[in-house]
Amino acid sequence: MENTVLITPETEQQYLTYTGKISVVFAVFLLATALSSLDTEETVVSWGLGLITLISAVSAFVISLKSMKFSKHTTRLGFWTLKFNDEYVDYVSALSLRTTCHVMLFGGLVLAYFGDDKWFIQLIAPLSLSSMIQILLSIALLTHGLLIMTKMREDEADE
Amino acid sequence: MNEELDNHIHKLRLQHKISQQELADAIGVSRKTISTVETGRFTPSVVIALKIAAHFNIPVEQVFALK
Repeated sequence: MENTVLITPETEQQYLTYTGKISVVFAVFLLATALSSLDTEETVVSWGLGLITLISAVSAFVISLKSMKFSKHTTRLGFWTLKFNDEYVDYVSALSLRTTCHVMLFGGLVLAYFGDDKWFIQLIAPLSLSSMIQILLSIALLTHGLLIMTKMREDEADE
Repeated sequence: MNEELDNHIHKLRLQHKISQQELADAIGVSRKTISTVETGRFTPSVVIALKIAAHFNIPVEQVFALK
């Protein structure tokens, strides 16, 4: 049975903003991981990337834990599929998911179709195909997170 | 921004002396929904449009109109 108690539009708005933050943090984590594979020697850059990876991993864990509290205050459908009752929150959620889906589809299509071609491997060198997939996921997550955060900050002062 | 739809929510709010938050609470939506509808950034559903009109006790055509 779905929980219908204490579901306010503000709760849904807060939860969606949390998911946006989680997406951005995961995007940074994946990007830093992909770029770390480029620099195998112990330089300042590799140390910096390692630090960013660690900070983003810890942040993602902490924000994900914090977002779990919303499971009691949103519907099960809203919590897992980001479908909300409030119209604007649902519109932002749908828009960000739709855009992310397009990024993944077009990027995935390129990687799936040309991934094994010699010219493509030379083009992305010294990155590996798995690093390219990490970068694609990072772009998709960044699109998702930034769209939510931007849309949720719009009209903040319009009162 | 919806180029075809005009609304008078801001004017009606001023007449009734209520804030966006009060209107949002009255019809059960977020303040963000009201502010984005008011500025024309978001087009609401018929249900929300009717709820806003009902709150001000006027026909929906007096709240929303085609440009």
